[in-house]
Amino acid sequence: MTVKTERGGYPFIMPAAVVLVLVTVYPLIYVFWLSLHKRHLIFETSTFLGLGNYTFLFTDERFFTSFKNTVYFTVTSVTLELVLGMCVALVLNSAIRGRGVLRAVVLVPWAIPTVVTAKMWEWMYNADFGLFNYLLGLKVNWLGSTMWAMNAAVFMDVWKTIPFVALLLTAGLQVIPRELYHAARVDGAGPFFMFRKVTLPLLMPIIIVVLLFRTIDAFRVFDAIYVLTGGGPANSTETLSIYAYKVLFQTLQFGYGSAISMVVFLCVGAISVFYVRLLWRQP
Amino acid sequence: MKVSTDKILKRWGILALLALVTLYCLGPFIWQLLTSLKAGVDLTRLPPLLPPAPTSENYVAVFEEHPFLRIIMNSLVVATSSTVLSLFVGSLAAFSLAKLPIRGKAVFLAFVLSVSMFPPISTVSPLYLIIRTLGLRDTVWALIMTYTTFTLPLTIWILTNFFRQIPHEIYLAARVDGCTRFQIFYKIFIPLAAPGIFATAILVFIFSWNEFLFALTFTSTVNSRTIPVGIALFPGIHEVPWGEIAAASVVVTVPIIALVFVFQKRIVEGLTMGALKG
Amino acid sequence: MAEIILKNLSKRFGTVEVIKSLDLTIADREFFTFVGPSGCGKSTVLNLIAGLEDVTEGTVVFDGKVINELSPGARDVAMVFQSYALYPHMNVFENIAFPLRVRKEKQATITSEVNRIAGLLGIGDQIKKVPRELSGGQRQRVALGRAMIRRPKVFLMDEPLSNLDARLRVGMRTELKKLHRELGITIVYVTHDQEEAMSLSDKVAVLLEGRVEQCAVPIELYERPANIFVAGFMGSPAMNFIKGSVTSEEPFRVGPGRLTVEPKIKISSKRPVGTEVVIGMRPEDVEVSKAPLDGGYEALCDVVEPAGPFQWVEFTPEGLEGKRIKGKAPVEESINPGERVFFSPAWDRVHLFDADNEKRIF
Repeated sequence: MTVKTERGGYPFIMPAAVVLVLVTVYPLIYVFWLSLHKRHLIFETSTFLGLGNYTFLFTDERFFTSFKNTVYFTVTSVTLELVLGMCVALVLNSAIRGRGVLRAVVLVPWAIPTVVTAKMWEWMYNADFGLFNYLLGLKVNWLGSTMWAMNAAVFMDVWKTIPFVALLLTAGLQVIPRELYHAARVDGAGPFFMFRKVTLPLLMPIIIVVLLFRTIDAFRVFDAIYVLTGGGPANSTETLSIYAYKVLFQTLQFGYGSAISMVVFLCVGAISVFYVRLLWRQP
Repeated sequence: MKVSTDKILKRWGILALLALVTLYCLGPFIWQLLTSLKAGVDLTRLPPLLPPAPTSENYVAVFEEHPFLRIIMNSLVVATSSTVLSLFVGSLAAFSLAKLPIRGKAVFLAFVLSVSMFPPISTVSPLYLIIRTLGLRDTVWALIMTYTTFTLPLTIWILTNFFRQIPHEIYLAARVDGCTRFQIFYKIFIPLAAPGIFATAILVFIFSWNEFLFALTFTSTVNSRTIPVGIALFPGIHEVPWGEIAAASVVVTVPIIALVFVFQKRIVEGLTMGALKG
Repeated sequence: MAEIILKNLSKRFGTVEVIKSLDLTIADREFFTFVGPSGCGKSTVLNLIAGLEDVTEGTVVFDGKVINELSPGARDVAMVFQSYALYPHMNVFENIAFPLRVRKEKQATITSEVNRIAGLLGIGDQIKKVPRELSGGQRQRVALGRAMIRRPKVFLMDEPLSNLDARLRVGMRTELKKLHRELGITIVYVTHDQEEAMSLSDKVAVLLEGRVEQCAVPIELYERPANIFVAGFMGSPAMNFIKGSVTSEEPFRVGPGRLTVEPKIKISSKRPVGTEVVIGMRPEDVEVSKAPLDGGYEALCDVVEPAGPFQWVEFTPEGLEGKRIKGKAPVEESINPGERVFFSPAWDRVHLFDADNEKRIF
């Protein structure tokens, strides 16, 4: 019965490591390789272009439009989500009774499949029979006007993701020791002052984490807008992910499409690095 | 006396806020529910808000005129298999990350975390080619493989945190009692981390149930089509069948909402555990 | 049943050497204790014996067999942990039965064995409860039961009493001692509590920074500590140390200034006049009184701590300002801080240490 003391847990971690490398790392290298080629899926041709696809990006106006759209969507939706999510978190945190039910209610928008959400909102935005126009007494073609369509997408995304933001912030609020508020009250601080000087600084790490998740999610947005507007009207809601998808699977230009998706990857990487460094600088 | 009026005002104020939050969160879904009960001309008439003649017509149509049952079955198979696989592979990795002596733990966790940030669009094109080469196009296997992998970071992250909370002495005690590492894993750690495993399972299931981009790309027929694709590509002949779409939406959303109401505490636990323990 | 020999045992974590070439023998059926301050490596020694850590250098020998490479489960040791480490999801029965289940024993054997052990430990009626429903003392017994059921060759205990409250701790000490006698097995025990070590053990090894400072029977540690560290660590309240030098060789006297004592040492150990030494006096060997004592010295009382049948008095000897010494006074003496007192150390119980290498001068 001489059993050598087993050293390490490598056998336990192997399956996960192998799967992750095969299904995420390998494809990532593959997509970079694809982006260096001109490859059309129907003709099965593949020619090496070097950085040709990337230099072409600079001349592609549609690429710039989709980049601008993506940034606009990301900035507006994340800002609104953070502000409104904070309000909901403060309400949730002060609710004493019915917190369980409320928490479940708040989770509903998060849990509904994005595609269903998009269909729901598409119907509510309907110019002729939509709920919004009826309630507001308007006749706006929300999804059909270049002025409104992107904002309509933002509103929908805000509705869907406020719960996520609010729940994380609530969790953060709940770990702030009550004594701090008692102490601040004894020192004569008002509620606004307490929020600014006690709550906000202590919540900062969590706010950064929330911003990290939300910014990345918003930047790579696909299904919500793709189902809601399909990128229209006149490409006014086309984001980078949607543009990449169309180039890849509608025009079947795998080389150029891969180059666009590499851009999404690099942007998301830069966003993560930015926030992670911000997080490290927290005390 | 003044104090108590203040209190009453405050209480009503909070209640009003809560009602507002509830209406905000549930409103769109309730509207979809009402729409699903309307048919024909009722759909295009406002007011009234409530269906003047509630009907189950749309629901019948969803199942009889469209292969929706098959689509739901596909989704169930995909989501369940992905959940089981992701939890199995992920919990093994999490156990070794939390308790076993291995080198480069921090590096691996950082790698796992960065994988969770990969935009799906960046890997969809090579994955499509790989799946085509393997002959898995339009099969549930393509989706199971992808979802298992893309949920692994979440699973590993949450479960590593759960396993870490189990005292190390329990691990040592089981070693002295003669358990192998694998026995410790399934006899002691799995039962002890059951709440965490459950929370993770729900999150993975919801992710796989809702995913759209990969499902849209890898599936082409009802052989493997899942719910999100089924709803997004809902066929209409002359006009968009809003009533039927609403009915289908309600059908696929109700189980998710039920999950949320029953397990809300666990879900929140899993979500915050996944996000905050960084 | 089991004699344990540690030969030249070393353990390094990275570059940190936690155990430095340990050599000692634990006799069969001995109650052997490792005692020392936190971070001295005592738990690591236990983990090395159990096989929970890999040995860096040296060997662990059980009954003449080197077992360095054996997994913990195969070593035939049982272990009780400070936190008890009961499996929270199993009831008392299943916790105690666990080691047998791992070894795939028959259900009938398991049932009868668990019931026998639970009865022996007086937890027979708690068998259906889960750990969180038990008191600290009951959990302790379950942990013991889980260790006993395998009839191991060696019992390893890592601070098993530290989580109990003071009263229960003393009670469990007696029980452990009884259990040791009844089971007749080797116990290796780890504690930071010198009193526990003294009262329980057949033999004690005092550990500091991964080295054995002294390994002896308890009374010897108390009466003939090998160096200043052991002298200060064993015994409560701690020994008084006073720096001094040899003032006369015949009779051999040491002291700082007027405070001279005549320690009993071997003639061969005597040092020349002027050699620096450290004088050690246990508080219980220093008599304090308000009335002048025969051969006593004057001092100023600083603090009085009543301890029931007597009182501890802390004072500053005259001519040794800034140096505080603790002594013992009968409870009848009404001494108050700030008052003049007299003290007299028992000369034959004075310890003498070399000021350079801190070792005992015998």
